[in-house]
Amino acid sequence: MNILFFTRLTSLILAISLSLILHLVVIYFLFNKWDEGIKIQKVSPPKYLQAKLVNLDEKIKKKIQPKPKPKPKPKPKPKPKPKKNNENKIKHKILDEQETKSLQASKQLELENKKIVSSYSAYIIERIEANWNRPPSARRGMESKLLIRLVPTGQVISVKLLKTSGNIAFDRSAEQAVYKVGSFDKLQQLDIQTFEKNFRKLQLVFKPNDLRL
Amino acid sequence: MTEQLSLWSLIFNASFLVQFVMLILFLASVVSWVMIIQRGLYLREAEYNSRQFENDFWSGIDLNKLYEDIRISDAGEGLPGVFRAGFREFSKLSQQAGVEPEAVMEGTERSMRVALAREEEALNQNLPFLASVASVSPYIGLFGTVWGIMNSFRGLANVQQATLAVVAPGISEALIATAMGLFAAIPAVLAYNRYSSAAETIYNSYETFAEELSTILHRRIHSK
Repeated sequence: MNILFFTRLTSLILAISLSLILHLVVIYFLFNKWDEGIKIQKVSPPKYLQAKLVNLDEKIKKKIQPKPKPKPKPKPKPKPKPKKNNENKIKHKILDEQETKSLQASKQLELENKKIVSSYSAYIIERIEANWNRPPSARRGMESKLLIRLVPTGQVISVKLLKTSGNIAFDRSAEQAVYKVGSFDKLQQLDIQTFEKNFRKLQLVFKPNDLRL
Repeated sequence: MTEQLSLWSLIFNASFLVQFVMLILFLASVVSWVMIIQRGLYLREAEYNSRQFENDFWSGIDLNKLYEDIRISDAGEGLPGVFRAGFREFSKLSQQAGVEPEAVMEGTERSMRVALAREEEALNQNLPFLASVASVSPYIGLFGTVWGIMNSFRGLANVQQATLAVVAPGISEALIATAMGLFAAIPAVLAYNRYSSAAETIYNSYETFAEELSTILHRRIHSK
């Protein structure tokens, strides 16, 4: 019986060790040669669906270019008038200097304003982008223009389609995105003047690969 | 997620249940391979021993001497075991006075039947485990896969833009469970089929031998 037990034991140990070795070999090959067989193909994803904000900074720079249109209109008009008045009334160098100083100051103020505006518009873009679900039928080159009305609390009052992209689903998705955001709470921090000037009415252009204010 | 998904990261990022399933399947695979190897060795040895013994038996050796040899070598298994059980009973009963030949044969056959039953049990040992691994482990693996895919789709619900890249790792990870289930099941199926037929063949040869032995003993007791 002893011999029998011993042979049984040895065969059991042999079986266990063989089985373990087999599994370890399989595991070794799986874990070390796993990646070799698979060539990772980088399939460039369809770009028209990869709508992503490029970068906040870039956006701001871009934004500044379109922005001037609404701003210069209101500002230059009121300012030149006092300038001209001053020049007409008193033609003194001191006043001239003062004037140039104030001009510089106002320019600086304007610049700062622009910065604030652009940062807020970036915020708006970000919110809308996050809520925008582009339809699968969206293609590059589509463009729909929306007019959004806001109140100082940041709430969206109305959304109007100014220009259709030709694809109803796309237009709908853009509208839906704005409605989904509902309110841009951060706009409450803005002072009322800049809000009135820049954010009361907003024109948004929706493009599949970019969202531009 | 990294670009290159290594198997490790797939396994370690799997959910707990999927990992548990993988662990079960791995253990099942290891144990079933232990049994496959052990059974293989055992059956081969049993076949070899029975052939050896039959050669000895039919070589014209005196049965008493053969019995003594077996008793000394302590081979209590397989065909020698059957022979030993039958012949011991036969010699004991036939040495007792006043026992009918029919009763002797009956006792001999009964003790051989007991030995055969024990042999059959030994031959089929562990085979049910292989059978259950073979049939159940694909299901366990499938369960892990379904669970993993379920979770990865549930995660997809919260994603705005669903791309393939979001679900792919989850599905890949979940499919490992199925692969492991099949890995455990396939050898177990093959081994079960092979070993059960081998065990049956060996058992049949034992049975035939028992019949032959009883014929010889029958002749012997009636020729007295």
